[in-house]
Amino acid sequence: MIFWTVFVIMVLLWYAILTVVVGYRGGKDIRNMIRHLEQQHDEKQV
Amino acid sequence: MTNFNWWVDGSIILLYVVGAVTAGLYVRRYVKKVDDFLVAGRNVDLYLGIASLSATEFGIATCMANAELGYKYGFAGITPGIALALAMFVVGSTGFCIKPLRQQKVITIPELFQAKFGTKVRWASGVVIVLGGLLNMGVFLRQAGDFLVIVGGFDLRYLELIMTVILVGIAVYTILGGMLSVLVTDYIQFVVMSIGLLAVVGLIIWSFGWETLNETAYTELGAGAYNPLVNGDYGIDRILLDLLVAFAAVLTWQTMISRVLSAKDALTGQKIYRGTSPFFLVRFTIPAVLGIGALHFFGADLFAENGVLAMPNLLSQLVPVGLLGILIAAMLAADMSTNSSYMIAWSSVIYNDIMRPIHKGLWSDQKGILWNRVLIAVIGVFLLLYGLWYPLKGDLWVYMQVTGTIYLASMSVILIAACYWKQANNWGAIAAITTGCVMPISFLILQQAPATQDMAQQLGPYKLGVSTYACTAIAMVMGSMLKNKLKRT
Repeated sequence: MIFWTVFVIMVLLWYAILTVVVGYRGGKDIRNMIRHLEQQHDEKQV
Repeated sequence: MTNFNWWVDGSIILLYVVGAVTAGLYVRRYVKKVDDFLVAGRNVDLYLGIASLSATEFGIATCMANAELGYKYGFAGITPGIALALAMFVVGSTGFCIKPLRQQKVITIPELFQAKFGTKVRWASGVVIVLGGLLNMGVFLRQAGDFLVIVGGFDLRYLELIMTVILVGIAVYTILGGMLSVLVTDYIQFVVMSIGLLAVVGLIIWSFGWETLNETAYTELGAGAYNPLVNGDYGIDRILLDLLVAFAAVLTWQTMISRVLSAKDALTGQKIYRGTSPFFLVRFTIPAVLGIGALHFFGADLFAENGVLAMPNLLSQLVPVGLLGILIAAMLAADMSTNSSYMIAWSSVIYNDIMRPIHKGLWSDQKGILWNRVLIAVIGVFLLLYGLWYPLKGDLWVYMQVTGTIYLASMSVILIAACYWKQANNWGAIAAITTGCVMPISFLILQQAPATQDMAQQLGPYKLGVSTYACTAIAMVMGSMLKNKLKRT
């Protein structure tokens, strides 16, 4: 029981941190991805 | 009875759906080539990759299946999650198979097989992947419909209508924006889903008390609730199957591997796997706690025959107005991301591998994108019809393991051989594909036919699953060695 209690607490804690970190950095990744795709297409057109 | 309120909860759900679909449609303008459509131009970075992979691998069907494991087996039901997390961490850390796969810049796994085993193996692999993948995904929509009908308190007559509306909503942005839309919506869906899941699991623990949940698990399920090895219904064969399925899925499941293939380089692909690996503990732990909550609330008898429905019934009665809207939005988010990724994953295999003899890689990007859009629409229609027609027998998670095994067994064996065994050849690959496909399909047929139901039950899905992996590996080795021997003589 102690194992599963610690396990569940760790998992939920890690998930909460992941949500904040990925929520912040994932948005940046989307902006970079779109900027990169725009650049690729502009280069092709030129 | 449900606490669903059309004005409060309905508005939250509407806000989420409109936001996600609008974002998905907005990025479609950046899709110019087939590569943009299928692998987002290979521009995916670490955090977006983690968000997308996590959101994809958590759908309503997964949540219900894993909650059923919690309801039936207690904390021991988290075992497949530990196996998956371990497998993903090991593969992400070592780059086993995924590194050479990404370095080859392929779109799908069968594409890699062509160089080593020839066109026929590539084509056959594509067929097996699509067959296993679609059968696996076929039950998603009904589970989502069941969940929403129960939690929202809708009339059962509207189940089909709800299934259709969900599917059309997902298909619209997937068809138009491809992987690019899938990634952007996955990100939104990850955030919404995470907030909803954390809030609901917190509510369940707070409402019942952690000690009470533990007491219930022990009283109803005994020591097996904590230890799968002493659980009479779990056992060593099932744990072994969990491990085999976990490693095979991490290596070859198209929706997982497509994130590695979309990554900006091999190292980022590995980091995405390493970073996502603990999420597979979340994927099983949160539903299992909800399942144990349902066990406490309803007892073991009420849903003994249909444990998959215990968790949604609990949530419909326990979650208050407002949070119910967030929960449904979260589960819709989970389901939309899963379905959209799965639709594009299987369409990419159909276009890239099965249709290869037709287009020979010579079609224009515009024609390629059009065909991929048509394929996604056709997959959508199949899902709707299969979801309405197929009667699920036994554990949902076991069904997903058995259908997944149709291709996981052969593809994982062939992939490892292609990457690391010089003597592997097309005879071995064909033998592996045939063995890996025939065994689980035969089991599904035996399970449905009245005359053979008992026999299938006696054999059980776990022993069959483990045997399938073993026989497939043997077939690969024997087939390859036979051809090499005949060549020498």
